[in-house]
Amino acid sequence: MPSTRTRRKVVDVAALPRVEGGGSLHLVVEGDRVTDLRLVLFEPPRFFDALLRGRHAREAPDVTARICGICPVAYQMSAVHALERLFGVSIDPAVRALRRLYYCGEWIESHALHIFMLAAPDYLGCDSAVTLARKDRPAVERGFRLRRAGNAIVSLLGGRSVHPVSACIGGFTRAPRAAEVVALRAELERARDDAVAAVRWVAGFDLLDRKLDIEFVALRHPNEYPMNDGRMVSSKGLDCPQGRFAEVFEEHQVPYSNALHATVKGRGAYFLGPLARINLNFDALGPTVTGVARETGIRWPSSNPSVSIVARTLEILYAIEEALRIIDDYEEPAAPAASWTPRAGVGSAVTEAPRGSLYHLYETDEHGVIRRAHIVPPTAQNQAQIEADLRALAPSILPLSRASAAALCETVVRNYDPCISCATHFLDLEVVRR
Amino acid sequence: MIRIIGIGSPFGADSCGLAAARRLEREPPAGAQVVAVDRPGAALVDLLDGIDAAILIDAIRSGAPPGTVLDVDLREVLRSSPRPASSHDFGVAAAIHLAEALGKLPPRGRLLGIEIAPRPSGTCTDGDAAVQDGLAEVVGRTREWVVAFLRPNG
Repeated sequence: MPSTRTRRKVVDVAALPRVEGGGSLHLVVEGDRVTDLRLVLFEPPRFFDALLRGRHAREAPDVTARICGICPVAYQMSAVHALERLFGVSIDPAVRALRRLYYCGEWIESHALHIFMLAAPDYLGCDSAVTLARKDRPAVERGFRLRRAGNAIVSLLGGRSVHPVSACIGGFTRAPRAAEVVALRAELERARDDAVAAVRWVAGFDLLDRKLDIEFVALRHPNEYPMNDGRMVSSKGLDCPQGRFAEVFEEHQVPYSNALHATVKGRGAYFLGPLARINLNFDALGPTVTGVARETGIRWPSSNPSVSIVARTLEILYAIEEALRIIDDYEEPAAPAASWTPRAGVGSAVTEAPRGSLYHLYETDEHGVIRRAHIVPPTAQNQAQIEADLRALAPSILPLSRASAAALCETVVRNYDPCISCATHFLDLEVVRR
Repeated sequence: MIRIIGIGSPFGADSCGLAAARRLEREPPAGAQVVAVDRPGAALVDLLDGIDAAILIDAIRSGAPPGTVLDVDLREVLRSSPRPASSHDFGVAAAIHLAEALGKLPPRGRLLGIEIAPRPSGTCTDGDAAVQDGLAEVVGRTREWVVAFLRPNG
């Protein structure tokens, strides 16, 4: 005779390990229903939007680069594009190519850090990169080589690899000499082989086999895989210029998190990041990457969020290929930056940070002093989707031990590569079973 | 090659390792390279790779009186347990563990720590007098360790 007692399971992770920053998770499953779910990004709010007010627009790329040690290039790029739109600045095509190369460097180093140091231990029975290094030293060494290749690009173009300083409105404070750019080539050639091996490695992991109803959102550009430019598109029919971001998406406060949630107006949660970009831009990856992607046996586009680690690794390969192309075509721009004159107005831009679309909006006065700034980071936007993903996982959690349930939830959260410091500008997991 | 690695943040009392590196850079010990790195995380592994000896200098907080100098073999750090931390908590100990797991820990090395005050005021060079004394002692010990590492059986 079936029990009349509802099975209840509580999962609590007080501090999620192996994510960027600090957060926790509290999950209560009763029967096959989630009755309480709180992804708590508890890092204190950082008030960058307010800190920018009263500062000159030219300071925005340097100030916002400080939001994140992993993806400073993304903050710089969204800042400069928003302000260039505001001031009517056109950039030299050679500078545009350099910015794309700069972004390739950040994607490579950020993705490599997440795959090898944070996510891969989940699939190989390891609790950290240290134990993974003892178990599979060549794999972690490969990760280090990839990260170094990305760092070399960011260091050259940004002046240094962490919190780079040379991006500015109109371009860069210094454009590299052709010989300096060509010198990146040898390390990237080696990194290309490492990236192909890495795709095959992660595609062999025992990934969860799921199919969820997800709205994937990313930029899409007619001529290239999206980084700095393109329209906002989604797997559910959204297709709009970046300037309509605030009309299409809405943010709202939840009482338990220091980061605002975001939804597509009238629909709900949406998914940003490498899997969204690949799903919406597979045709723009080029023959080498699509060939390696098909070899994995995954059907693209994929509605299985767990294949994000494969998508992320494919993007490393793409970024290396793209960086090599840009290097081969590089010609020093006539001037490192276009000149510009401030004016009063409002400008916004979306660029593709490693974790997904990053929105910046600025309002300035006629002297170029920032009167209003609004930054919507990808991790904040992904929170509702992470919670939706965990809700869908609930039936699988019930039969598991407390430790296994917590580990599974952590893997699901980590799969989004959350950068909690950016979003609050993290994760402790609390699982409550009932 | 011997690499002296001053680790820290430019802000507040955590600047001790950077301050020590800057002092050493003024007159670098013969046979040693001096680098100052701002919270390197896992990148510290790269700095430990391919060298004969490393001297790491960092601010520490162990509960000892401010200015106390810790001087231990790098391998003693391996007796601590690496915990699976947020990437933001990936500190010197985790990097030493990872370097060892990857076979990149140099054969010889010291960790020199300068105890900072529980509630420090100012930076390492303009705050607590005892911490400044500790900084001077670490700079002196670093030079002594370079000499010791350069001896044939050092």
